[in-house]
Amino acid sequence: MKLLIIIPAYNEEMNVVRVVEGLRACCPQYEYIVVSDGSDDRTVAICREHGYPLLNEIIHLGLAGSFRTGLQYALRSGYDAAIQYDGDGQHRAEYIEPMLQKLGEGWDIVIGSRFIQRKRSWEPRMLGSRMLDFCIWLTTRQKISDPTSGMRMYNRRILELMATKNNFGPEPDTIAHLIRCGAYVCEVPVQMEQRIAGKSYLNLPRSIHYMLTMGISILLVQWFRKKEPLAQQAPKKEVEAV
Amino acid sequence: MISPMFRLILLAFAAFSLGFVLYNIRRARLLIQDSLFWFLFALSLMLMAMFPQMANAAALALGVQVPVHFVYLLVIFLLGWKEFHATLRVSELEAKLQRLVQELAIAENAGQNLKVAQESNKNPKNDR
Repeated sequence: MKLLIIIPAYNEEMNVVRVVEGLRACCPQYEYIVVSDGSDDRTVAICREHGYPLLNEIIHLGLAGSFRTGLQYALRSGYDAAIQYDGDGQHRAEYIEPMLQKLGEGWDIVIGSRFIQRKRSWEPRMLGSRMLDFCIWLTTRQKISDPTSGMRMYNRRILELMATKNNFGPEPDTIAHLIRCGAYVCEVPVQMEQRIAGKSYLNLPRSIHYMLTMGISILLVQWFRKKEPLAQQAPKKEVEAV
Repeated sequence: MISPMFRLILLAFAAFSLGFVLYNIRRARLLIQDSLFWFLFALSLMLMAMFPQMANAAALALGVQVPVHFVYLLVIFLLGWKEFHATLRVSELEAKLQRLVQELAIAENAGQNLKVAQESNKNPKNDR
């Protein structure tokens, strides 16, 4: 299976070299591309200096938009699968292999989950995550232990949908909607790093906006959306959907 | 007091807005991320219609003479706020569009120059 690792990077001059070099050291067999999301620091220059494959968006689109740019590229270049691999160094390359294995078994979406073996704490961030997975469980009857994990891998048919249709951003509500359309979603236990340099995007108003939007989208909007006809192709090994 | 008729109209309008927003999401014309305001707007109208005591209390607290006027005020404020943000958004998009078109024009110009240069390399006669 031909996999493309999409590395969205917005002003990641402090991280991008470490992230890409780590990736290349760990799994040189996969192709990757950095998507600079209108960065105004040296991210683009650094990628060019090192000769990293790069999509340079001249305008800032946001994480969802720049990941979609990567998906468009994957679609046109004939890749069978794509994974989001954050440019801030949170994701660890050693988990790409087991995730791809799951995809090979026939799962449509594989989520790298931090909370299969480890319990979530009760800090506000994790409370949001708990609320989202409860919403998803209410509407799909499937337990997703880490709905906000950014490390997700998609196969070709999901990749096509996400690259071409509106309202299929890489977010928990899309996962819920796709499950209801008949997609097979599973999780693989992963560990993630704390962000080392640069600052996080989330603040309080944004978090509230995000939670409300996701909540309404999963609990209300979903019932009114058109269902994408996803033919049922069950995974080869019907392993438990952890 | 808010009349039953007005409450009914409010409710009907809220239901209509809700339906309209959902319809446009269904047709994939409205992005879910932009729809939050309209859901909250419809919700607040519904609350006013179902629990008019809320409008009464708010009118009393603010010194608005008639509770219905509080509803008008609320709608005007919400829509005004939304309109301002929509204008901000349009300005932002305008600026982005301009940058995009300029970038494309300059890139095309560079591409043309490259082509001319390559062709004159192939044809030494045209080369000065």
